[in-house]
Amino acid sequence: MPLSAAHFHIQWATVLIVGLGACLYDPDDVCSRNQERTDTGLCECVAGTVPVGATAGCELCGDHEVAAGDACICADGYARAAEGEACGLASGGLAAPCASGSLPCADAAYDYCRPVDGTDGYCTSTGCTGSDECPSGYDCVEDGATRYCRRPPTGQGAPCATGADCDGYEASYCETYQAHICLVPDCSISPDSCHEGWVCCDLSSLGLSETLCVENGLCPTG
Amino acid sequence: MALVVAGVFSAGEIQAQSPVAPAPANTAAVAADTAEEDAIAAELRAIEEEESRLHIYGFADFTFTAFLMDESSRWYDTYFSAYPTFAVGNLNLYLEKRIAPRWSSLIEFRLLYLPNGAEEVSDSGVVTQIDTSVLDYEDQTEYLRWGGISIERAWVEYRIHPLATLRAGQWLTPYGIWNADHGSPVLIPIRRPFVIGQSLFPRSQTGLLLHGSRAFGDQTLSYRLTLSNGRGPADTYLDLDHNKAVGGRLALDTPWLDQFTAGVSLYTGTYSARSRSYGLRNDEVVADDTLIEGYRELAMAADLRARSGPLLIDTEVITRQGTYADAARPPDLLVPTEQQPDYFAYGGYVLAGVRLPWLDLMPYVMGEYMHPMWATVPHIWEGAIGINMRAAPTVTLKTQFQGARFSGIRNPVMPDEPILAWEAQVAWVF
Repeated sequence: MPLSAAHFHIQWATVLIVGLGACLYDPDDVCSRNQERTDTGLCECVAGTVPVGATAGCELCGDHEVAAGDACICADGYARAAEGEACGLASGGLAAPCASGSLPCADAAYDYCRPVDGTDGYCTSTGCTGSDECPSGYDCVEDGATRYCRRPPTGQGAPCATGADCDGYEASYCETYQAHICLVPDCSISPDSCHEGWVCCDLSSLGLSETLCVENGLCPTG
Repeated sequence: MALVVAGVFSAGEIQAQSPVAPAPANTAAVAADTAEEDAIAAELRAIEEEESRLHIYGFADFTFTAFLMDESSRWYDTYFSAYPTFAVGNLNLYLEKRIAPRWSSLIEFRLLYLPNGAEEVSDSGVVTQIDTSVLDYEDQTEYLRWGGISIERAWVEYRIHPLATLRAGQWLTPYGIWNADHGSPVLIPIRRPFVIGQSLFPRSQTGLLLHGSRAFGDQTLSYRLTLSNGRGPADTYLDLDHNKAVGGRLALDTPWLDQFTAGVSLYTGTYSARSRSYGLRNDEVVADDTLIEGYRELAMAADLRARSGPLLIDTEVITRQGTYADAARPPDLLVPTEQQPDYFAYGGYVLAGVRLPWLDLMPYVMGEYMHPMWATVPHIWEGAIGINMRAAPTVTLKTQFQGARFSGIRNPVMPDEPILAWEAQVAWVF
């Protein structure tokens, strides 16, 4: 049965109106999650987020993090205990007490937590090639793949009268014969584990079953 | 007689109209009828033979282009050459054949000088031109510059029914007026409208196309339905997602005026570009597949061609909406630190021409507007005025002045300055 011209035109108009009404575009939502439009009409990350690659939108920075360019960094006073971990309350600068995994070092210059007792340790720097690159009193030593600036042993050279005066120090031995100072006991001779300027002295020839770190040139057994 | 009958039979459609057993009463009449049948059969065989031959033909155009902006125009620093140029633009070859009853095939190539001369931008921002010069092995003293081939179409189709023909391969997207009639000798202006060049619909697709038409009284309704890979980095042979693109077109031819054809077209699909990286997991090679750019799109268009006596009017309105996947939104080309928003691009043009009785001249004007998909280029206005002349049935001469303005630009590369050009072209069919 032939269609009338009017019928045709109605069909035509219907197709056109239905077609033009179809919509994929939402003018109020033209950017990805965590993005907003710029003055130029493009999409950029909202405050507190960073781009994920060149095309994968933006992700919200975590707790205690702030956006800095393309990365989330720890806010002031916070630091990561290790790469990829969350930002936690941070310790202070050089020699500040820290704990691997729980109390990271906040100062970027001294962001290495050198363990001394279990996970507890002190903040220092890594990557030195010689002690002249380390802060005053620190020496550059190697521990496995890490070269770091090692602080002097606590209490080393402190005056003492009895062993109790050196308790709590790494230099826990009170030399009561001559110098009356706290010294580091149980050092290793080879390799020498003593701090720079000190030498591991074997006192076994004197009838003492000990090794002690003494200042260079003061080891009575040579 | 048996031969005549066989010949007529093989002629197919004429069979039903042909007398198989003529009356013996009038021998002269029978002889006349037989001669006529022989002639018809021979003519049909000739037509069949002609149709089943491989037809090789094509078109080409040669254009002179001169931009007319002031020497200080910043467009010369970015997009356009300050130097007037001759160019062989299109050089297209067609191979067409009816390969079997109900089966036919068309292949179209465009021969290119490219990539020779195409511009490359180095990381440091220096623009240089690709040089494809190589020593010719046929003559070791000469260099030749090799070019490329673009496969424009490659399809085969089967006529299932008078109302339905199924086409398979790579075909031009059926939308509007311009995309189907893309041969420069049959186009009125020199340049296609901006809204066509921006490919709001894909220029071609690879997949299946079902088409047909039916007359309703003095009106004809034709349809096209498409199923394809859609757009993609290598969509002519590789789909990088599970979503096939669909589309279609309806067109109505009416007897109003001398020609009045109106059409609507639609296309929707998903674009996906992916990268893959390899690694080892549990001593096995594993690949991480990442969608680096992905969007859904919906394009719609309406077109109208009206011809009355010497007056011709063509107009098209085209829209395209695109929404990017959250995790696969591309950086902006001009401001790469920011990403492209979803978009609703639209535009249209009106072309009007009058075929004069002298020298087969057709003066024409064209105006167009486009709101493109680029967020930093909100408005493009363009106008052209020119003359088209059919110097011969196979040769068209054209000249036109063209002006364009990109207004409201919000990027540092494109100046808010007018573009003016004069062009002259000869386009021919061979």
